[in-house]
Amino acid sequence: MTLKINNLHAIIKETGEEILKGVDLTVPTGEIHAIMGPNGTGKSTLSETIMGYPAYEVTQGTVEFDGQDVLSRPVNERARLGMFLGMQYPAEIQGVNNADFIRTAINAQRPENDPLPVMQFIQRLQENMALLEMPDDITDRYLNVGFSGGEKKRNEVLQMLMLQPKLAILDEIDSGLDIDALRIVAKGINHLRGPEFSALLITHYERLLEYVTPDKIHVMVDGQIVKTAGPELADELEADGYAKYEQIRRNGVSE
Amino acid sequence: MNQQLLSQVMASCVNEPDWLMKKRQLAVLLQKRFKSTPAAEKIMTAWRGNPRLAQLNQAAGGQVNADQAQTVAQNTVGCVNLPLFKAANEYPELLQENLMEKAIAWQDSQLNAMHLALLNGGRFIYIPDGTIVKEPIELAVDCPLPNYHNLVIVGAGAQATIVEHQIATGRQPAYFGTELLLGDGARVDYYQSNRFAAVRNHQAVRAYQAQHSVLNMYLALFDEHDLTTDFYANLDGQGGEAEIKMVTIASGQQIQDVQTQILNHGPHTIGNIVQNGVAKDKAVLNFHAVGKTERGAYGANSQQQSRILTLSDECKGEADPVLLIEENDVNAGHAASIGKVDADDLYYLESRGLSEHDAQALLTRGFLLPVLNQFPDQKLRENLVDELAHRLEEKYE
Repeated sequence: MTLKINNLHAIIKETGEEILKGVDLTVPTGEIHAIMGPNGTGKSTLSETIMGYPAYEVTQGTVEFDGQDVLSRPVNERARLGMFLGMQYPAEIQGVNNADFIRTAINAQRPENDPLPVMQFIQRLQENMALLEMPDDITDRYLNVGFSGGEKKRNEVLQMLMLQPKLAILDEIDSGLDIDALRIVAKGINHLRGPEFSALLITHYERLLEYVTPDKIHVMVDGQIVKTAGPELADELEADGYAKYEQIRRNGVSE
Repeated sequence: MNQQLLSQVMASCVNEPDWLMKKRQLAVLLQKRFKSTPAAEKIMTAWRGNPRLAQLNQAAGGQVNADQAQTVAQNTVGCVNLPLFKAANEYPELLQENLMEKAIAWQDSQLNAMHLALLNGGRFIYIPDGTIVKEPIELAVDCPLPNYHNLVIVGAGAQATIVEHQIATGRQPAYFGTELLLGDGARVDYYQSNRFAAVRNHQAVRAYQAQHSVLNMYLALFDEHDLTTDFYANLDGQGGEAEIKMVTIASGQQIQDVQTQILNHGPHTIGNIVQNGVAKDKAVLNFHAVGKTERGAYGANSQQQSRILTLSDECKGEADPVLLIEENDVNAGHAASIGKVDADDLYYLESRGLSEHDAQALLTRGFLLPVLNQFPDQKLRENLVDELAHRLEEKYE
């Protein structure tokens, strides 16, 4: 269940501006990778393009997951392949009860004649909410409506725990979190860690990576991956910033 | 034409008190003086072609008349609950003074006058001062005749819950009218979810509210035929409160034309209109909401919110919010929106594995549920949610 991205180019449909300029990236099963990079280099665009956000258009390249072509599939079928995107700005949806939605989503990924029994669902929901230290009433509320920034992020992680994806892409799941919330979110990610689960963390800061140690870190600058290394890269980036890699990208050389 | 109608109405009035007979004759004679609309004209044309005047004790040939069609056993201790024509004989003062006078005035439109002239039946509910009726009073009828009218009088300090679920089964356009008269400090929760069989219909619910009375109207317009409505609360006395919460669905080639109005006449009155509607297929859904604050209604509050969700490119929605303010010291506001399902919302749900169809259905339900969930009666709410799901799944050919 490897994610394999090859020479991916994508533009913003409305303006035609190219954001992804030939991304090559492989995330093997069982590994957690992080993508770091300065603002506006296309990290979020990459995650949204993998999931199929309609504002972006792929002009070149391929994305494969588990040997299957991803880009030809509609968004919901990508989810059914086992992919999950924890969004930077999750939508607030009036009138849709959080727990009902999570159950609908779980059942949408199961065969029609085999829905998750309600009691099992409730049990799993309670376990995962306890793990994430979420208040009981959060699942009775409308999906993300009136949630604080931290509650929204936790709710993304809750959905991930409930849906048990094979690959989770978490787009700035750490932004706006205080240190306690960060620790809890990290606990949720580590909870899924195992040989059948891979994750791609998109982040500005190395703080999250203190709690979730990645197998690999990729540095993305101006729509390309310019550097891939082990977890120790986070410390270097923390100390020196991205200037070196921006320079490398400008010179057209990737390490 | 008028002469012929007049003699038909007179023939049907023989068992009625004199005042009612005269009033209905007057309605026939004067109807042309009152304002009309193209939609009302279509309804009246159908009535004139075949005036159906059956009423209490006059049903013939297996015709179930409107009053006798009342089937629900009422368990409402402490209040009067009678067929309208029977009540006209037993409570002449109350009816003479109030029937189509204070709330749905018969001179208000030609359609109202014709409704009175062709009246088939209805219920009269009278809750004496200070009486608290705990059990909901049900206005439930399978009504084969077009003109059905309820008069509800709630005395000072009295409280009641009224649940109207009427079904018009006839092929002729139906006019369902309900008048709610609230005395000082009366409190009424009124629910309505009516169904029709004719291609076009009209329903009016109008309230007249004395001081410090509180009315909550909960309206679900889930019928699939053309409909014009006239929902209205007149906050006459000071400190009165009216809240109108509505959910609607228009589908197929249906036209729903919804008029909702709250009049703040007394000082410190509070009026609030919240209406959420869904238009699909080739339907037309129009919300005309008016909040009017009259001179002298100082300290009044007039709010309204109209939202329409359009699910297809062919359907049409129009929200036309109006605030008429003649007093300086008021708090008034309105919000209106018309639009499709939000693309980002749709994407979010699809990214969790929901098909586009299921995501759209969930968002549509979600659009109406926040209003529907404010209906306090749980059983009614559940029924409406079922009806809603059914209407949303319907395929239009």
